[in-house]
Amino acid sequence: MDRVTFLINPVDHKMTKTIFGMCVLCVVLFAIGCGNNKLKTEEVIGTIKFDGKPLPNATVNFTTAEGSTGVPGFGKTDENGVYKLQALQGEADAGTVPGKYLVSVIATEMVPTGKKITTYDEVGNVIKMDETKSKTLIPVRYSDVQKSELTATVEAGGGVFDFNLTK
Amino acid sequence: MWVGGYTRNGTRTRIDGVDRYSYMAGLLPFVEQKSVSDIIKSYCAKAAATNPYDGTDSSTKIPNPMGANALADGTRNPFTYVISAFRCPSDGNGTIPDNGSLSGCTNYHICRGDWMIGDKWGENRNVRGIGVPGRLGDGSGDALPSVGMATITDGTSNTVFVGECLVSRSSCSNNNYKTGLAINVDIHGKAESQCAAVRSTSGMFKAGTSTANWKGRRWSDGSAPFTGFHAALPPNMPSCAKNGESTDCTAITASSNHSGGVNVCLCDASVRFVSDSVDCGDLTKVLGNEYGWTGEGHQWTGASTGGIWGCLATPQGNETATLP
Repeated sequence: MDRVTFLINPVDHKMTKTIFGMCVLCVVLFAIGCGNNKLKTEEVIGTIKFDGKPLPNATVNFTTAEGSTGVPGFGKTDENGVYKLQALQGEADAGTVPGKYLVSVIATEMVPTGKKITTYDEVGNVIKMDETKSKTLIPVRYSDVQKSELTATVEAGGGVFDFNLTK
Repeated sequence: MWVGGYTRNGTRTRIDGVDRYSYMAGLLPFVEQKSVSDIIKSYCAKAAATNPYDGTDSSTKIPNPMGANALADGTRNPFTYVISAFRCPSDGNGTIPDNGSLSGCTNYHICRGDWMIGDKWGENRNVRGIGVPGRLGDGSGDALPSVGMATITDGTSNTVFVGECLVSRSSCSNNNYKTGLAINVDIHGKAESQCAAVRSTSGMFKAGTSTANWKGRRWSDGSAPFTGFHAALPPNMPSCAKNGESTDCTAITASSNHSGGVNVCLCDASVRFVSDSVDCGDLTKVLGNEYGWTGEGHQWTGASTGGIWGCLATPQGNETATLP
């Protein structure tokens, strides 16, 4: 029967224990000192289009699919419809972890209702502003991961996930 | 909020404007500021005798919580006093001259609960946190919710009373997402990621985000941006408002200069440190019912859907989640 023998060849047994202990302590202190507890993520970016045109100022949500070990991600599209996903416990714009996701998109704008509302400025003067309400810019089904029919599978290395929404 | 001593003759009858007084107005005698409290109460007592509720603006009769303007007789607005007990020593922002020109600032915000919600009349203001705005919007008329120790059925050690928020710099362009707040972000009845997604790199808001400078800039004002916070997003994430109106739907997020988290005061008067990585539930879930969206929905009763942070923010969730 083979035996695997680990050879530790200390000059002095007691000294090795101390050195080993100090090494462990240094590693632990270094790890604490780093202070960066952010989640490691893969970059996820893409373009959202609606009816063929880039969709600006829309929120993209990657909700973890049942049974997957992903982490939810979200992003907001810029004026060109481009989003960079981010995860809550990851760095901003740095993507999310690999996994299977159901995707939803919320795109709304605030439109005036025609009424005015009263509020106060910094020194207490009464000022009037337009009352606004939310209006959705895309079909409501896209806001619901169970109905959007949009999915994404993020793998190691991240990727580009474009979504073309239709009326 | 309604504060004993600021109503008409000790009753709960409304004096126009008093409902906007923050929880801090009620704390004054307990933080060695009884002299400031006495000024406020004396004007409220006079207004109570002469100002029946007819909708007229009484802001010159009682100290205005929404601004610095002096009282009608020229007395300095007591809400402009700088009260150092209301400031966290680690926050150097929002230092104002103590000369009556601006409202005094505060870092300490009362917990509104686990969701982004508006303070507006008519909207459902029965938020789930300790810091309930002045009136129930559920059709029960002028019934005023009372919050006392007995209402905290989750346990005072499991419920947040006050959290800290960095004070906004007076110039909007000088604010990052921890000190300022993004406006015109459509957060009403939607996924909390609507607000989280304005976070960009280097602590800044996404390019093109419009911002406001309201956070903590009036210790007198009970409206959420000034003295309230929501445990919808975890600490040190952005704060948002649905539009440019400070009493409409907002998500005011706890923030600090402390590394990796914020201090909160629990209802048992202990102070605990809450990490930025506290479990907050899934921000991508749609929680509202606008446009007929279906989803798990924000829960108005029962266990919070907002993770441990949400459970801590609700005094009656029947959950006793505790900080690790």
